[in-house]
Parts: sequence; structure tokens; C-alpha cells
Amino acid sequence: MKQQNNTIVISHVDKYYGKKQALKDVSLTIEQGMFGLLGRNGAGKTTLMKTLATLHEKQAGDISVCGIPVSHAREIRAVTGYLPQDFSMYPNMTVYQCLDYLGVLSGMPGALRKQRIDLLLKRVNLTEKRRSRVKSLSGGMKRRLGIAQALLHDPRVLIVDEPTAGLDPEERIRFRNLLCEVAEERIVILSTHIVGDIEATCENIAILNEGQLLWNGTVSQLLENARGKVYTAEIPVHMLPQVKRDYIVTGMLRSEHMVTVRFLAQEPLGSADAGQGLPAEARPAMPNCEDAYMYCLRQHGCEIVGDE
Amino acid sequence: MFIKECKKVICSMTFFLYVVTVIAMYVTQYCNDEREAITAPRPGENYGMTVREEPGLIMPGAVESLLGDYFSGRYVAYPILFYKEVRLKEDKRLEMRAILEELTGLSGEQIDGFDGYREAGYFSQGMDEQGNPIMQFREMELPEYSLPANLSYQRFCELMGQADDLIGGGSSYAPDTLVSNFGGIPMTYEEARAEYEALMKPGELGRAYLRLHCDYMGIVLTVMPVFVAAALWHLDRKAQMQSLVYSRKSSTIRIVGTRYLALVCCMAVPVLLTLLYTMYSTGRLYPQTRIAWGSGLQMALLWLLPDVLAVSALGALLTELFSPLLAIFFQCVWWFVSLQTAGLTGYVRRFGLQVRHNSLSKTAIWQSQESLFLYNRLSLLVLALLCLGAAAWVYARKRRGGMAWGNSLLYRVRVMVSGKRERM
Amino acid sequence: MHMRMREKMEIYGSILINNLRLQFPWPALSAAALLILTELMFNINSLEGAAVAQPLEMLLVWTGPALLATVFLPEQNPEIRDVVRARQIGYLPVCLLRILYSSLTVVLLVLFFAGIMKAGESQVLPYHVWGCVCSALLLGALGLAGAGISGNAAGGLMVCMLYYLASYGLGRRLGAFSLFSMTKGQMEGKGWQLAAAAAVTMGALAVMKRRKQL
Repeated sequence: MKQQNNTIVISHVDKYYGKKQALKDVSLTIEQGMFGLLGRNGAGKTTLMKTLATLHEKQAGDISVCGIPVSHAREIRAVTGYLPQDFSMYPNMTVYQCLDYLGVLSGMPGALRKQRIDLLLKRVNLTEKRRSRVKSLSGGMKRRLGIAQALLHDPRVLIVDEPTAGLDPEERIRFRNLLCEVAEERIVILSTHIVGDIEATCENIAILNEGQLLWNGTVSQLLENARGKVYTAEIPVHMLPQVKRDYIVTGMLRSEHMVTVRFLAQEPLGSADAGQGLPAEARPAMPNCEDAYMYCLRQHGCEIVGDE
Repeated sequence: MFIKECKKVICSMTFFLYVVTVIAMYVTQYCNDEREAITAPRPGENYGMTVREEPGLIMPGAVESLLGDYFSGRYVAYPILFYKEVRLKEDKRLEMRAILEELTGLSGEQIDGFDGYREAGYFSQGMDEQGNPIMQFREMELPEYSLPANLSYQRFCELMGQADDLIGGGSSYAPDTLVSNFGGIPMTYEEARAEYEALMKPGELGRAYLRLHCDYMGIVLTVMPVFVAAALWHLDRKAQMQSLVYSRKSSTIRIVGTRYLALVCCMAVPVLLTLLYTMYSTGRLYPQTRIAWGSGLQMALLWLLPDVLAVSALGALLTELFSPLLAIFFQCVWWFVSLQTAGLTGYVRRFGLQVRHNSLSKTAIWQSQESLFLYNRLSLLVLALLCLGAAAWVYARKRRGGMAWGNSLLYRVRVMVSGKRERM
Repeated sequence: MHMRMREKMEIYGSILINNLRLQFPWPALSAAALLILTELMFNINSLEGAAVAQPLEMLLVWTGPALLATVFLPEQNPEIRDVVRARQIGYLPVCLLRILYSSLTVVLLVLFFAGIMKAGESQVLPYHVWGCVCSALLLGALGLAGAGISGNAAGGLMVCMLYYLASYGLGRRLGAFSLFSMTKGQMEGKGWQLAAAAAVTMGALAVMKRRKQL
């Protein structure tokens, strides 16, 4: 595309809600393509995204989006598109009216609006629904309308907060693919707590926990980081509670008397462990994204509660 | 669940504002008025008004008023709940004229031939030195007439009843309100003395103070609860938890009932506290008298609780059906209209939102209205129950997905008209 | 330059039209309902002096809250608000535009009503119109502030009601800020209410801006 500087630079950003610190000294550089923000609910993903979209103010640190400092809200808003977590729109407006109005609010002149709306409705497959009211749309359609409005003014950065939550699997895959297409020509920042989404789409990821950046790198680096820490074992059912207590179990498959568990272990399991009544036939396994994510949380000393 | 709902109510800003309003009203109005104890009347004072069922008093006043209404062509009535200005069609006008013929002894031609009618009212008489208008009251001007000597009070009441029917009911000529509307008369010293002594009986004193208390608080409690109710009922929708709450297992009656109960209980707390304070402060005003509060409290609860119950239930129903703003708008209009049209003392109607008695004394006026008061309050309670039932019904239908989520009236009308519903 | 000017005009005109369709109808309808109600409730013919002020100050002032407390209503849902705020033009100009045309509507409605009263041979003075507009805007501004800061139009209307009751109860103690000063024969000082309305509106917008509600 037309520009020079297609990166987002975040350095040492702090953000408080009252006394609660929502972002703690976050530094990140985001390049063109899909970028995934991963973390539990309440980890600060939404806060970071809203700060990027100039909806929140940071208390300290610097952010620049494509070379524009974040304090220049108007200019930033011209180059960013934002899709909030629970996107909703004026329920009594039609799809077309909505997009037209939001286009106006982006300062787009009439002819350009019409052209872009037609194009985007086709792209998100909502052309037939252009005269339907927003409140009559299904969840998936609403989300697609959301992406259309975020792309309306052809932003260089697209910020999407939990785009796939609440969608059925088919809708979810379609939506992910749409985002990938979009990411070919711009930065797309995507937050989710569903690891599978990231695995399928993102090259680069960051993991946030309690406002702190735990990890920043590529997906393969994250997987590499967890290599050799993931095991599977077949154990008798009665041993399951003990394994759950001692390890982080990331998956299990139950047969009649035995359970195949997948778990994380800090040190490579030697024969010594077998003596403690631990899975003797534990075999190393290839980490998947979920394992790697859990391992990363664990590695940084996060309390991991709730096996299951 | 009850406690949870209570928490929701208490934490809302609307509830906070409600408490502020209740307390502000109490402090600025009631407490401001009642700082001194009532003293015994002394001869030669002005003792205010009382009412008496005395034909010689009621008949001329009522006839004059009716004649005035006839000439102005406008009659005021409160048929069910609302103020209504009635204009009579030609045939009814002639019937009314016939009634007036009998009441005044004038012929129809004499009545219609009179053209000097003028409304009573204040008229400015030029300006004073500061440029403020000097206002002067001018009496109504009517044709000369005298009540026929053979007109009995009984016949008079019948005729007034007919006039009330012509207007459509609920006018000030309805026979059961004639005494309070037209039987006003200045009190004599003996009457004032008697009233004072009656007032100083333990039970009466308590009733009198609580009555005044209720009079002021009623003004607030007939409108403010709708804000809290509408906000609470709207909360689910706003937090987009509707589908969540809807799918929970507990029964509709339980959800709606608990929420309503929580709402009413929370709103009753500041009211009860102010009642307690009134009892405490009144007790201090009359250290020698032992005041019996029982019957007064009964009356106060019967006065104020239906207000809160009915207003909240109606607010809940309208919010559930349409939108919180419509509920608020409707209640504010009803409140305003009823307050504007209510008299100040001894004002009770069979149906209606307001009961007023802005006085510590004038017990006689109040007592003449006591059965109406009961009737009025019971009707409000029935209204509350009906609204609550309807709200539960609507809620249940929504839960089963039978009613559209969309809340715009226009949309609903369109659905009804076209008979088809877009996918919600 | 000329081109850009025209483009800008087109955009702001479009915002205006969209908002007249999106936000305006219900508030305008309720304000019109208030107008009709005032006409029904009060005798508005052949009035003189303080009596003229009564329908204006008692009921017609509520056109202010009807139009102004509902300014933020379409975006009461924070998710919608965020979508609007994230656009280049943003939410504040939209709100300012709405405040502007709503205030103008208040003026027009009051003028219209005064015209009806005049036609009914009531002696409406220019000060009555001015006073009613000032009070309506003050009440409206309080509603706007309450609604904006609490994020709930019901809260805004409640603030209005509180002030209305305070005016009712406190009478002269509110001085120039009493909503009913003309009814009580005080034919000056309404300008203060307009000033207060402006101050309250700007204060509320500033607070909302700070709290990132705008």
C-alpha cells in the first residue's frame, strides 16, 4: 500500500483504572500481517486494544501507530478501524444506513461511501441484507457487518477484539479466513482467549497476563519454547486426581479404565519420577499451541487453576 | 436471589437519587413546617375553614359554579384518572339548561339571553411604581337569580347527580363530593376549640402529624419510584444478559416477584425511616401527651405503600412492554396532571393517584372522606397487582421467545399489521 | 480549497440528516405531546400577567428535558458508543450538533406555543418567551448532564425531576434559578438560567470527555 511506516510501536505503556493497574509497562512492536493478542479474560487485551484505538488514554509510555503518536486521536482514527468485543449498532437502522452513517463519521464523501459500501457488503457477503434492520441480523451477520464498518474507510490498521466469541464453528472459520484476507495488505490485531484462533491465523503473537506482557514472538517460537515439556501417558483412572494435582493437564481422553492424559512437566521425566507413582510410560509429545500457551503462563509463575 | 436483587437496586444511581429526593422533600417541606406545637385557639382568631353538610351553604355555591360552567361552556371532570375538559353537545347542553332552569328558576330564554358573563379571575389593574402589575380579583358575573323556595335539598342532590352524569361522571357535582366541594365554611371559635380538643386526644394527634407527613411524601412517592423501577427492569436488557436470565430455570413468577419485592422493600426503607423520625420529633413537641401511633401508622402505610406499589408495578409493566423512557414519561404526565388538579385539603377521589390533606387540622373534612380514601387506596393496590401480573405475563412470553426482542413501538405495530416477524 | 469546503458541507449535512432520522423523532414527538398536554391542561386563553407564565413554567419547560436529556440515547449502549467514537469525526461533534438542533427546537416550540397563546388573546410578553426558553434549557441541560454522566437517560430525567421539585418546594430560596420565578411575578433574572444551562452543558461534556464517554 501507499505508505512508508507500517508498524505499531508500543513502549512502556501503563494504564490504570482507579487504583487497579490494567497495563503494566507493556512494550511491543507490531508489523504488517496478523498479530494475535492472547490472554485470559481480564488480562488487559481489551484495554490495550482500546488504547490503540484511542478510546482509552494511557497514563505513561508512548504509542505510535504508523508513525503517528497516539495523542493525535483524529489522525489515528483515520488510519485505524475498530471492531469491539460485542459489536452492536443502532438496531432500527438498516445495514446500508448504518454503514453510510459510519462512513460519514469517518469523513468520507458521498460517492466514495457508496462505492466502498457496495464493495464491502459483497466482500462480507451481506449484499442481500442491505435493506434489513440491524436487529434482525443473526450473531454471525452482525459480526460481519462489524468487520465491514471497521474496514469502511480502508484503514491501515484493523483492531478486532474477540471476533470469534459466540460464533458457531462454521461462522468462526469463515470469519477467520476473512480476517486473513484482510491482513494481506494491513496490520490486523486480533485478541482472543481461544488459542485455536491464533494457531490458525497468526504469525506473531503476544501473551498478556494481568496487564503484563509475558511473551512476544512468533507462534513457532512459542511452540519451540514448550518443546520437550509436553507428555502423554495412559494412566489408570484412580491416578487422575494425583496427576492433576502435580501437573498441568491440558487434555485427557477417557476409555473404560484408563485415561490418556496430556500434561506439562517442567523437567524432562526420568525414571526417578516413576518411583513417585507418576506416569511411568509418559512419552514426550509435540506441543500444540494450547500446550505452549499454558506452558508459557506456567513458566511465568501464573497460578493455573481449574483443571477442566 | 432476593438479596442479590436488593443489591442491584441499592447500587443503582437512580435509587441514590430517589433517596436524595425523599429526604430532601422531607427536610425542606415537612420538617420546615412542623417545628412548633399546636396551641389552643384563642377567641377572635381566624380559625380556617371546615366543611358542613348544610344545604343553605352547599346549594347556592354549587348552583353558581354550575351556572358559571354552563356559560363558559367548559366542565371539568376526572372520569377515571385524568383531568378532562368536557364540552357538551347541543342536545346535552339543552338538558343541562333544563336542570339549571329548575335550579335557578330562570327560563331557558333568560339563561341563554344573558350576555354579560365573565370568568372569575385575577386581572391586572395597571402597574405600580416598580412596574409590577397590580392584580385584583374579580368575581364571576352571572345573571341574577335566586334559588326556588320549593327546591328541596334531596331534589337538589338528584339534579346535581343528573348534571354529573351529563358531564360524564367524576365532576365536582357528583353527589358524594358535594359536601367537600361546596360545604366549606369558616370555623367558629367553638368549632375550633372542639377540633383542637379532638386533635389533642392521643390517637388523633399521631394521625394528624402522620397525615401531613403522608401528604408531602405522597407527592414524591407517586412519581420517583418509576425511575428506579424502570432502570432496574431495563438493567438486564442493557447489560445484554437478557438471553442469560431468560434461560435460567427459575419460574417467571419467582423472578418477577422477587425483583418487584426487592424493589419495593428497598424503596420503602427511606420512607419508613422518615416516618420514624416524624414520630420521634412529634413526640418531642408534645412532651406531656402520650401519643398513640397505632392507627396513624396504619393509615400512613395504607397511604404510602400503595403509591410505591402501584407506581413501581406500572413502571415495570411499561418498561417490559415498551421502553423505560416511555414508562417514565407516562408516569410523569400522570403525576403532573393529578397533582395539578388535586385540591390541597381533604382531596380524595374514588380513583386517582393523589390523596392530599395539607393540614394538621381540618379533621372534619378528612373524616368525611375516609371511606373514599379506603376505596382509592384499594383501587391503587388492585392496579398494582394487575400491572405486576401483566408484567409477569409479558416476561414469560418473552422468555418463551413469543415476543420480539426489539422494543420499538413502531416495529411492533408493523409486525402486528403485517402479521409477519423478521427473524429476531 | 473550494472542493474541500463543499465536501465538508456534504459530510456535516449528512451527519445532520442522519441524526434527524436516528435520534430526533422520539424526543420531538414527546416534546410535541407535552405541548398538546399543556394546551389541554391549562387554560391558555385571555391570560394576563403572572397567569401567562404558569403554563409556560409549569409544563412547557419540560420540552427541554424531552429534547436534551435524550441526546445520548442512541449510543447509551457503550459498544455502539465505542464504534462511533473510533471514527475520525468522533462522537463529540455529533453530540454538539444534536444539542444545537434540540435547543433550537425548544426555542421554536416555545415560540409556537406563545403564538397559540397570543392567538387566544393572552398577553404574552417577549420576556415570557425568553424566560420559558431559559428555564427549559436549564432543565434540559441538567437532564443532559445527568444522562451523560450516569450513562442512562432515566437518571437524567430524574435529575430534572429533583430540580423541578426543589424549585417547587424551595420557592424563592433558589433566587434567580427558580424555575417558577415568572409565575411568582419576578420578571427578571432568567438570563442567569441560560448561563447556568450553558455552564452545566459544557461542564458535563468536559467530564464525559475526561471519563472517555465522549
